[in-house]
Formats: sequence, C-alpha cells, structure tokens
Amino acid sequence: MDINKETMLTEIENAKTLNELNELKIKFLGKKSELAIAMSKTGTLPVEERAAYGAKINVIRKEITSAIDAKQIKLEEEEVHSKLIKEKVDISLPGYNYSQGSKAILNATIDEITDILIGMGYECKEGPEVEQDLYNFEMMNVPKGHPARDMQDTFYITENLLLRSQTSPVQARSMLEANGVAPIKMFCPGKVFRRDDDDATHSHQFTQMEGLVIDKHISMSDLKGTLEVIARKMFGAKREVRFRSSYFPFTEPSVEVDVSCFACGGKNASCSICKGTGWIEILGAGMVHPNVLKMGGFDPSVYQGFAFGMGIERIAMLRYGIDDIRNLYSNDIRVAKQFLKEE
Amino acid sequence: MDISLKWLSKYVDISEYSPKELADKITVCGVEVEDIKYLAQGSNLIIGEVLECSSHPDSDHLHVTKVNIGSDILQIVCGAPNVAKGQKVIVALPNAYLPAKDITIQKGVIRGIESNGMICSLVELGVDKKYLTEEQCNGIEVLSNDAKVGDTNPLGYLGLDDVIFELKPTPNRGDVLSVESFSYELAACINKKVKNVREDIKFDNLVPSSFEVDSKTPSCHLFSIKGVRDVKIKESPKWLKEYLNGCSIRSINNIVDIGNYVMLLTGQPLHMYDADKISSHKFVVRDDFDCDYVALDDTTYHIEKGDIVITHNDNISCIGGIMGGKNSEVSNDTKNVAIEAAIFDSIQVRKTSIRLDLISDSSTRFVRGIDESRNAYALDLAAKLLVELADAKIVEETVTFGNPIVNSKPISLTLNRVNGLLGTNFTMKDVKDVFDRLAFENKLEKDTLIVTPPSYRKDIFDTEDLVEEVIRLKGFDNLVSTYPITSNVGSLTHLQKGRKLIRYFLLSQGIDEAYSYSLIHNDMKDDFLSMSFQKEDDVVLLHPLTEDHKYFRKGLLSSLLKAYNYNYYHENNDVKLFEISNVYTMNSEHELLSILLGGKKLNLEWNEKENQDYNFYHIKGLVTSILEKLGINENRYSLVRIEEDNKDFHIGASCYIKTGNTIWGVIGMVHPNMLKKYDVLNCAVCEIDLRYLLDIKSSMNKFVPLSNLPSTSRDIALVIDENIDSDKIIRTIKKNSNGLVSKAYVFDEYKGEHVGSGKKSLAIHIVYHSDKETLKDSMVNPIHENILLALNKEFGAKLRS
Repeated sequence: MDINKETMLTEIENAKTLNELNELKIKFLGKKSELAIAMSKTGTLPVEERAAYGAKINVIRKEITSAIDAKQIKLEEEEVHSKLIKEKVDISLPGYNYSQGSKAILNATIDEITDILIGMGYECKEGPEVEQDLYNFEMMNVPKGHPARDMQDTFYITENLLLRSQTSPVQARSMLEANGVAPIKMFCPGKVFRRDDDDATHSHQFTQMEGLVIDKHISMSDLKGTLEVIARKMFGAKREVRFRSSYFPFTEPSVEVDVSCFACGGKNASCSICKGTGWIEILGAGMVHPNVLKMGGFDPSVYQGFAFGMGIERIAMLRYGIDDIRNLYSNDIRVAKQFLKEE
Repeated sequence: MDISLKWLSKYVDISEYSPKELADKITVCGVEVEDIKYLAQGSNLIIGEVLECSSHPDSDHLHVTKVNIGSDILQIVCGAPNVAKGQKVIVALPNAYLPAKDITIQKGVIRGIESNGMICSLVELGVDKKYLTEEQCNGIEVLSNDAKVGDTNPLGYLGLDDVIFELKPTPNRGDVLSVESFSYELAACINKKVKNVREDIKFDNLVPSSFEVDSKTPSCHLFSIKGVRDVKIKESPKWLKEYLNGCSIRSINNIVDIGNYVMLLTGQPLHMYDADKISSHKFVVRDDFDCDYVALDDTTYHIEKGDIVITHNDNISCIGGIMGGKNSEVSNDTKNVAIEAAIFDSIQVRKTSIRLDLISDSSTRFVRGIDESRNAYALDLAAKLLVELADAKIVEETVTFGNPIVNSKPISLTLNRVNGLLGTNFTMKDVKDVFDRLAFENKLEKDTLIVTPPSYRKDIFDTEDLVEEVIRLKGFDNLVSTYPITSNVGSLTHLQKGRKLIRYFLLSQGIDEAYSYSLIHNDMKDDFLSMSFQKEDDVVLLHPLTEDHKYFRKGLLSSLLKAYNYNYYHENNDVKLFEISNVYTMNSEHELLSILLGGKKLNLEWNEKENQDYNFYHIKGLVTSILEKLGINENRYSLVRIEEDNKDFHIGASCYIKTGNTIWGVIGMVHPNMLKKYDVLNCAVCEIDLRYLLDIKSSMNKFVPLSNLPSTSRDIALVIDENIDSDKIIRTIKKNSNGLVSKAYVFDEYKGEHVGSGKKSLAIHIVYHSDKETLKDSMVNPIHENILLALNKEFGAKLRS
C-alpha cells in the first residue's frame, strides 16, 4: 500500500477556499481516490490479512475526514468574517426616524404635578369651564359686590353664568359631592379665564391647579410640610418654602408661598429667575375659611382643611426660561420640537 | 395707596429703621410695600448763593458763575437759562450722586473753563414733573431768600426729604387706606406704640346748622353735613402740601387740600360743596334717578336707578361716594362751604363706579369699607382746619341723618384654636402679646382671651381671623413641617386613564400635542361642526375683550387648521397635531379629541426619496388604532359616508363614526373651500367625542388557545364596480366560507385602463383555517369556488384575467 497521508494532510491544510477543500474531499475520499482504490483491493488479499488492511485504511480515512471537517469549519468562519468586513456601514449616518410627538408644555407640567399628587394620595378632579357664579364665587366666600371680585375681572355669559376665573369651583363641587364625609384629598388642574389683555405676561386664558385637604386635624403646619414635599419633587431636593401673609376670601389665614430659587439657590444677586431675592413666588395657600367649609357641607367646628393653588404657566415659564406666555398657546411646532424630552 | 413716611413718623417712632428695612417688616406681616419712592434724592447737596454770573466765552448758552457755599466760593459752569446773580440755589458738590439721572458730579473743565459742581433743577433731583411748573422743569430751582447759604440739607428745606411707600393692600384691608389706621399696623409690625394720632377738638361758639339732611335710599344710612362760613381760599401751608405730596396728591388750594388731608388721615371721604351754589340747604340722598350728569371732571355720566346721588330740589349735586358735580364745585370765590361725611353702601358704589369706569380716592375707600366711628370726628377736624387755614369765621353744628354702625363684637379665643389651626406651640402669653402690639382691646378670662377688634379692622369677624393676626405678627417661621395623615388613595379615573392612553399613543406616532385658546372669532366658530350637540346655541361672552376671543368653541378643528396655517407660514409643511379639550354650548359640555395631519409626510428617512400627501387612510388608521387599543370592536360602531352637501369636508373622502343614531365622530379630508379659507394645503382630520368613546363598553381580554394546525391561503384579484366599498366584499367572503376563512383583507387597489372606466380591481388575500383538522385542497377548493360565485352574484365581481 502506497498512500502518502502526510501529503494529503498538507494539501488540506493549504486549501484556501471551500471550493478547493471540496475538490480535495473528492480527490482524497471520493470513489476514485487512492483510499477508495486501495480499499477495493481488500478482496484480493488473503483472508487473514484483510481485517488488518481494512483497519489501517479506515484509520487513514478517519484522519483525513476529520482534517477536512476541521478545515471546513475554519474556512466557513473565515468566509463569514470577510463577508461582514465587506458589509461595513457608516455608523455616523443617522438612524431611521421613529418620529415622536411632543406634549404641550402646559399639559406636560400638569402631568408631572399629577404624578406627584397621585403618589401622595390625591384624587384628580375636573369641573366645568363654563361655570355658575354660585360655585366660582359665592361658595368661595365671595358674595356679589365683594371687593375681591375686582381681583379677578371675569368673563360673564349671563348674569349667573361665567367662564370660571379660578379652578376653585371644583373644590366647592368636590365638597358637595363628598356630602360632609371626610377625608377629602383632591387636586384640580384646568383652564381658567380672566379679562386680561394678552401680552407677554398676561393671557385671557391660563391654567391653574389647586389642591384641597379636609379632615379633622389638618393644620397649617401640615400645609407647610405638604408644600415642601411638592416643591422638592418639582424643583429639587434642597428647596425650602416660605410663607408670607396674604388674603384670599376662601382661606384664613392666607399666605403667598415662595420657593427658594431653583436656579441660583439664592446665591446669585443678578439671577434672572428670582431677581436676586433668592425666592420665587409660586403658590397661594391657606386654611379653608369656615364659611367655605360650611357652604360645602362640613361643620367647621369639627373639620379643618388647607387649600393651595398655583399657576401652571408661571411654573413652566420660570423653569424653561420662557419670556412670553403666548409661546404656550402658539402651537408652534418649532417650540414643540424643543420640548421632546420629558422632565 | 401712596403713604408719606414723614407723616407716619409723626405718630410712630420709626427712627431705628431705614425705609427698606421698614418696608420689609411691613411686607412680611401682610401689607405689601410695592415700591419705595423718594420725592427727591441726591447726596452731597448744599445751598449756595450766586455771586457772579457771566456768559461762557466759548458758548452761546452756558454761563460761568461764582457760587458762595459758605465755606468756599466755587466756580461752576451752568447751562440753565434762568441762572442769575443773587439767586439762592442748590449746588451738587463734586462726588454728589443724583439717582434720578444716575450721574455722579465731578470736577471738570467745560469748554476750557473749570467747573466745580452743578447747580441743580428739581427734575435733576428726581421730583415728579407733575408737581412742577414749566419754568421749574426747564431751569434750575431758585430758592427763597430765607434759604441759608451753607445749609447741607436743601431737600429738607424744600420739604422734599420725604419717602413714599406705595402700599398694595389686599381687598380686605380697607384700614390701610387711612394714615391713622395704618399707623397701628405699622406700630404692630415694629412693636411700637401709636401716639398723638387724634386731636382734641373743641369749638367755642358753634351755631345751629343751616342745613337739613335726609336719605331716601337704604344705600345710605349715615349722612352728615357741617356748614362752615366765610372761608378764604388760598394756598395751603407748607406742612399740609408736604403731607399731600408724600401721599402723591397734588395740592390745589386750602379747602380742597383740607378735604384730602382729612380723608387720608381718617379714611372718611369728605365732599366740599360751595354752599352758595346748591339750590337749597336741604340735602336728600336718593337712588331713583335716570338722567345725564356732568361731574367735576367735566365728563357727562349717565345715572341709572340704583346709583346713589345727593340732590337738592330734585337736582343732582354729587354722585354719592364717587365724584362731586360741576354745579356745586368749590372755586376761587367760594365763601361758604358744606362738608359732607357719609357712609354709602360698598356694593352699590362698586357697581356704579365699575359701570361708569370712574374710580376715585373716595370710591376706593367706600368699596373697601369705612370706619363709621370716625364720621363726626372727620367733620370736626375739617372744620377746625378751615378755621386755622382758611380763616373761617363761623362753624355750624353737624347735622346728621342716621347713626354710625360700629360693630366691634368681642371674640373668644382659646389657645387650642390657635395651635389647632396652626399646628404650633404658642403660649397664651405669645397670643396676648400680639393683640397688645396691635392695640386690640383684650382680656384674659381663665383659658380664654376675649379680644375686641377696633372698629377700623373690618376684616376681623371670628377666631380664624384672630389666628391669622397671631401667625402673621409672630412670623410664619413658627410653623413646623408636618404631613397630613389621611386614608385617601390616589388614582386616575377611567376617563383620565383613557385620555392618557390616547395622548401617549398619538405622541408615540409622532403627533404633537396642541394647546389652543378656547375662545375664538365669529369667523371660525361654525366650521367643522358635525355632531348634533354642536348645533346647540353658542356660549357667547357678554363683554368680550376682542372679537378674536368672543365665542367658546364648539369644536377644535378650526383651531388646529389655524395652527396648521401658522406653521405652514413658518416653513413647516408636515404638521401633525392633536388636541384634547372641553367644548361648550349653552346646553352641554363635551370633551373632544381632534387630530390633524397637514401637508405631506415629510418625515422621510435619509435614504427615502418619495413624499406622500396625507390621505384618508392615514387619519383613519390612527382612529382605528385607538379603537383597537381601547378594545372597541367593529360591531360597536359603523363608518357612514358624510352627506353630499357637506361644506366642511371632502365629500368623497370623509365619514362619520356612528353608533345607533348617534354620530360621535368624523374622519376625513378637508373640503377644498376650507383649505382655501384657512390658507393651507391638503389636510386629513378627525374629531371624536372623547367621553362618548371612552364610555363604550369593551370586554376584558381573554386568552384563546393557539392552534398548531397549518393554514392555507389564496390570493384573488376581483374586478368590480368602483362604487362598491371593500368591506362589503370582505363580509360576503366571510359569510360564504363555512366558517373556514379566518382572515380576508385587501392588499391592493387599482383603478385605470386595464380594468375599464367605472371599475376597480381589488387584490384580496384569503386565509383558510380550521381548528379541527389540516385543510386539504379538496376541502378548500369547493368553498373558494362558492365564494367566487357569491361575489359574482352579489356584485358582478369577476376574477381579473
């Protein structure tokens, strides 16, 4: 038997392509290969030699087969690799655009506050924008002729029907709905309207959000703690709140609430957000007036409560540095595209 | 209200505080000091005398002066036309700072001549031009001869050293509009006592009144008149002018000034009548006139029933609490005056003053409420000043209709109430201290403090008002931060959740959220209305500010079209917007969802080339996706073509969404006339009654076991009449399938020469499937043939060859 195994293995090792390897496979293992021819001669040998002869050829055949298989895997890997190299893309070209819309800035701000207040156990209440004088004013302790009506010049539709000038009527409606049963913990975002000529800082339509809590032992200190939580969630963990005495017909005592400046923390005397005072006026609040409790069906000798309110436009304008309120109502897509990111 | 610090300092010792410190203290306690204004300001000023004055050799208008300032003689170049030798003048020395002009005076050389200061005009010192004559505005201030050369306080000499606090009291604090009452607030803020605010007034020989008074209206329950005779009109003394200036009121003459002074001090508005001009000495207050009337400001006002008027012999001589009349005005030849001090109903005064657009110092005070206990005192004080400053010879007794209502009822305050409402730990001593500071009468009885608020604090009725006094004067720093513990659970309602889901879906599809004005113009209000409630009466403002914002919109699409127009003209022709908002009619409230896809889908990938106009299917797909997401089955609604005379929508490519007889939405392309009206391009829109949509019941998700059996499918191309809607074809396929068609849908539509005019070809993919067995061709073929037969029979459909 004259089979040069080493030559075959060398040839296999030197194969460059899968095609070459395939040809070698036919050449070394095919029907006309030396091994096949050698094997076919088995029958011509004496019986006692046949087994050893056959076994010897099979060993060689196995060795060649596994060398081809191993080479095949190697060549296939190389082929895939070089294909991938050829398929190289310019990774700096832009990805395809899964277009996304932007929330209206005012709704985005409401969404944010809603998440905070829902998490604090508040219910979100809604009420009509075309409202009765009764809920907008009278149940808020502002009877007809009350000078506080001058604070809010109101759009009337009929003598008793108006565009709500505040979201407070939703408080009145919620109290009546509760039917004297506490606790109440609600907030009400919504559109309101006042007779203001539109300019950079005034708008005949704007957005408010008020909150109301009524139970037996609700105190003004609870109000302060609550507003601190909200201020810190909205404007950062280090925020402080400050109360200043004020007047609203529906609360007593009443306060204006300042939040320490989120832009400069009171450290920049020429800060454009807080005007160097370190504080920004963001909320009005107070303890629910006994008359309001009474009209809402709660006995003021048993129940106490606090209420707070804020202007959504003001918050959005302060946070984003928007200097003209009309930008919030222009529906300008160039503005929308600036606010794709959610806070 | 502008208030003079100089005047206040007569009653309260404020010497420890700078104006800024004082303003901060007052503001923190609740009365906002909005601005601090200086009558005049300047440092390094001195009074000098012009010794020499000659023309500047190198100028046609400058003068060169030598000015004696006592310690020195300065050469000063002066540009004022009125400068002259011998004048006493105000000199700003080198380094003087004049805030009104923001200049610092420096030694210098002006056109070759040395100048060592500036001779000042009052304008340069910051005096408001409304207090100055034209001459004073245009030239240096020339002082009287009694001015002392070398005096380093020329502003004090002129009475211009006052500081004005501009107060912005809340509407409940009428007391702030009186110097006397505000003194108590100020004193409480800085823990001082009020002194000498009341004068003892005694008249030696009062004569009986020559007047009669009466009121025929419930709007006036107190009306007093005091006659003062033989007055002499002249200029007011310096102190009176200064106090008025310090309250931003211009001096007119002694009579008018006395009226204003007493009003400012006591808060009780007075009105001075020329007693010789009124047609009788009987004053009758009435409210039953309907006529025109010329007031002091020379304007004619229309008086209506209800307006309070003061009359003589059925002639009006004053609009009560608002403004006097031309016919009885005090003038330079007035001899005898009748001073009126009355209480008019605040609601009625407010109503009249708003209607007439006439807000006066007097009406402002009536609207906020007046301390009626000062009625008689105010008249006495005015009469006393008329004697002192107007040489009045005879003072009459006051004649009064009605009685003052002074309601100062004691309030019982417990420590529990204070700390319970505030969440604080105040002691009774703390609480009592507050009312001592405020000079509220108070008395401790066991555990209860009995507090009687003074008559000028008309904002205090009950315990919570007293609690507010405690916390505002003690300081809000005393509040700790606690958190209310209640059993409430926060969650969104079904409506709120649905709204959120839809908003986030639309945002995820690249559609921006719009937020528009709800009030719109007449021109837009009737466009794109298709639901039945939108035909109800409009909500219209009684007194709109502009025509642009007069009607409450009943639909949102006109707003979105307007926004599309705006963006189109700001170089954006791929406008995708949605809005969710409430709309109103006189009968109902609805919440609408509207979507607009305007122009072309420009949002192509960087390697895509074709732009596609938005069409019906773009918008329909958004709507059906929302319905699917909400689990609303096709059998819950139907799409119905809009009527052919519709003017808002493209009649060939628009439909209503309907359930039963209720139209609750519209989907479609905008009518070309509307595109023209809103000046925009192609545009696909929808509007849906959101609450109707979210009220449609959907069943809960239910798992259906998956089948492992294979499906088999057939594609067919049918030629049918182009007016046949594809959903009918699909329905017929399913109806004739023995339940074996699991899916059938159109994947292409063709109209054109190959199918002939009036025809279209639909390519339909039909999937056959059985849960029980693997379908063989021998089972599918007869059913498929049956379907084709049915389609041919019902629609004349032929297979496209």
